[in-house]
Amino acid sequence: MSEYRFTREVDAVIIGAGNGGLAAGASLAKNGVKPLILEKHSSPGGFASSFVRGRFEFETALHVLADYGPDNNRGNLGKFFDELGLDVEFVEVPEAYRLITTHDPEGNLDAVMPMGIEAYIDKMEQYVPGSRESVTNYLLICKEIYDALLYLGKNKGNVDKDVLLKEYGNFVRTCAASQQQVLDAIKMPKKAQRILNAYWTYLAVEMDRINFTIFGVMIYVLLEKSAYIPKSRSHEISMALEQKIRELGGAVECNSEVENILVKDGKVLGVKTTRGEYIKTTQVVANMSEHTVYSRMVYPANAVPPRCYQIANARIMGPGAVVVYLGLNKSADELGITEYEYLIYDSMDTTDVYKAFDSRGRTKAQATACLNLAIPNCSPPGTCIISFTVLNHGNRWADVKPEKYFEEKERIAKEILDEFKLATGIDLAPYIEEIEIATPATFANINKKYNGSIYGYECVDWDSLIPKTMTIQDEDENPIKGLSFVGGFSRRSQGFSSSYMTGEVAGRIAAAKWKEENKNV
Amino acid sequence: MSKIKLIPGLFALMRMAGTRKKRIKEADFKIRNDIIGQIAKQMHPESLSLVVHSVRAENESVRTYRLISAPDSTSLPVFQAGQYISIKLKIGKSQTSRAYTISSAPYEAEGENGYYEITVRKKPGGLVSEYIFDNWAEGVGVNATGPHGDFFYSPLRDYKDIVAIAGGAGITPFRSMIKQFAEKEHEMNLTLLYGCKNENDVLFEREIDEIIKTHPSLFRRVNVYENAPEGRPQGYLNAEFINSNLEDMQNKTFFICGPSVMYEFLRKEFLKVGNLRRKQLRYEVGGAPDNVTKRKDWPANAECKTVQITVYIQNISYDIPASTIETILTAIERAGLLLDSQCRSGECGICRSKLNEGDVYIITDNDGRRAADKELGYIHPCSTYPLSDCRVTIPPSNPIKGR
Repeated sequence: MSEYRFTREVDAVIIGAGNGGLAAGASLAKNGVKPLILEKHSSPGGFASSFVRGRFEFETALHVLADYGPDNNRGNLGKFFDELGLDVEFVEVPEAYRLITTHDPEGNLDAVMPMGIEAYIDKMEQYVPGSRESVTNYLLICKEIYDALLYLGKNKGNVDKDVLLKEYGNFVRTCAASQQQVLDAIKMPKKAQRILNAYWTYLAVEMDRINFTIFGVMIYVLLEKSAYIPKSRSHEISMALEQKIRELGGAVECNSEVENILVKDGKVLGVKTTRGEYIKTTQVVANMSEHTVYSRMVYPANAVPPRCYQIANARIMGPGAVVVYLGLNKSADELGITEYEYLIYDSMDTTDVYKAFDSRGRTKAQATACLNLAIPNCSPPGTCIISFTVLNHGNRWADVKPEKYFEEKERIAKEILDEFKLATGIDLAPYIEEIEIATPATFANINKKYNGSIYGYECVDWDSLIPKTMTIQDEDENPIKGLSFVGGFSRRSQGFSSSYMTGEVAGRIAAAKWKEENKNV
Repeated sequence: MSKIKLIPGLFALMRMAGTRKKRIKEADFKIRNDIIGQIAKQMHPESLSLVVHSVRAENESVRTYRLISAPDSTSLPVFQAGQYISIKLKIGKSQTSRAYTISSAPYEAEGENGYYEITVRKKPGGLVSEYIFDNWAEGVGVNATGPHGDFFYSPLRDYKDIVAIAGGAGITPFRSMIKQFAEKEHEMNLTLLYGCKNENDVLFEREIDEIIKTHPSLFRRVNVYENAPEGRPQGYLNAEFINSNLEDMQNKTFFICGPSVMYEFLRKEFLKVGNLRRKQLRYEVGGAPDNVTKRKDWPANAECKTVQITVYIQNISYDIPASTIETILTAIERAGLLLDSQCRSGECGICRSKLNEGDVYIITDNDGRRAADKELGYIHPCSTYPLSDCRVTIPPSNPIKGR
């Protein structure tokens, strides 16, 4: 007899209908296990959402969806979505990025880089004559790493060391290296390195510390599979996933917050909602950080093995963000906005910029997306939508007095607009029809992100995809039976595509465990 | 392709798991505080426990309630002048909510003795306003959401010349703005154009005039009366009145607050005012209109009749009666079912539900629905009217805490 009064029993409970949670739900349901997804908000999606202000519908968080791929060259995410049969209309973004540096001791850069590996190499050769060989080499190694990961994935960790060494030697030799070590080893010209590294802000770990596998795969997948965005904002993906989960027999309940994960004898018993409902289950998938789950949610608290706190505390918290969303009353064309994605840095000294994330404000790096360059009719004629993201560690917002909070947001937004003007010559200020500014406190409030972090834990060598994949089923790493993690804080780095894939994998594993437990029933 | 010689020893790969184990073993056992999470909770509490501190009659049918934090509750969250709180009420078997603009200033909410004031007009037959008039007295507990809404001044977006256009009780956000600007801000100036039915309809006149007297360069007020007392301007809040009181229309932001019939009228009048850009006009949301059938896009063939709504909550269904001229939210609340709501104007999406079947009329003035939601048949029941029998799936909601 259990000490809890369960009112219903389900195969699996997923806490949070963010990207990881929805993907896990779809993955479980596809594998024959009926999940119940409990979402605190009035609509599913987490960061994959949108909001309306006046005549604009803003994308909440997505800049580009990586690893989706065109019809004839799907990436892992594209394959997953295809297998599910998701009904989402995707649009390809026009270029990889435009990099601009504004206070660069090594000389300011302004480079527009295309999608496609050949085109990228050609363009780099134009900007940096003599870079062709090393950039080609670099991207070939990246491809080998990508293939090696596919091989590892296929063999579920049971790898033949000889095959690995013979076929994927560069993977074995670089897997513990940083991006900078690899760049130096292949002697890429400095300027080409700076242009290539532009995308680093999406990982937010400086080049000396970022695991090469992570960076290499990211840039390879971007150029090889191109990048996509859904036509009706990422809310469209969330809604399509939700609908699919329902079709496959699962359920998504909004306005339903889980207060506790009930644990006994090292095993999950069920969950309790803030409405006081007890739901019985053996599998709980948490779309949130280990810090949140272990410090606030497991009941009783002494059911958390001390090792759990060590697992959480060993990891390094990534930054949160300030995001400025603008609805402008002029078209992108009239304003002179020519690229979808502007990556603007003070310099490409990534160590210097990384340090700045530990402050509050514009912090030397901003990623800007103008939605209309990919989806021309995403806002009414004669208008456009543009958003700016800068990274700030959440705790840097702790000393802002509540009554000064609004002022501080507007101050930083102005800094960001001034920097955009300095970088591009375009003054957006007179054309602002709608503005919304989100901060780490916003993400802590709306998305319940630990410390307002949108970037999950940093993917440094020992805490990135490979060691985590190798230890995914280790008992040491899963101290509470039946509890697994998905989303930006789990096994891969943050980002939409990574989060979806953590859900896909966790869903498969949880389904297998559920079937194992229920095979005699 | 070159063969990279980088890592000494071949099995760096195998070592990574070892490094990971070592890092975890070295980590501490402390439970970390989520500082930003705690701050976010203070700034955006899920609900507020308030107490009526005092009641002031503005006239026969309008009262201002001063609300303070209940004992043992934290201090009041900050807000921007113009924002509202949504009051949660249980009246009979119905649980409902109403959005009321905070008519006091943000600075008055600060500190231990901070307060919010809301100003309520008693509507004859109005379920909520009559309940409040009959029941709220000093010491009565009140449940509310934290402050919400987008109707406030943004220095980056708006011009420093503000024109506040108020109709009747729509003065409340401007009382808050004027008090706040006078106390804390001296950059912008505000011209209040105030349309009233008659002299009795004017609210906060003396108080606002006092502020204008001490800050004549910042504020100006002009009233217009449908039935003017002697010596006061007779007329309507229309293009002519607006034109006659403003020298030029450009580089100004108009904040407009009043009943929804006023918005419909003013949207046409502003076309005559001059070449205004959309960013210059900001309308406050105003709740459901008194008479939806008077809206100009109300379907000509729509009948005023009773229909049946089948409401699904977590796989249980309820058949409830509804009127075509009341919102689906109202019908759900009247039937004693729970559905959380906040703005009651279609904007915020808190009551977001799925329409599985049925014809509806939707007020689109403040339609906060996303494109994908519209495509999939989601509605905001607070601004949606059932024109036929309907089937609607609503999310589970929480009963009001406390009383």
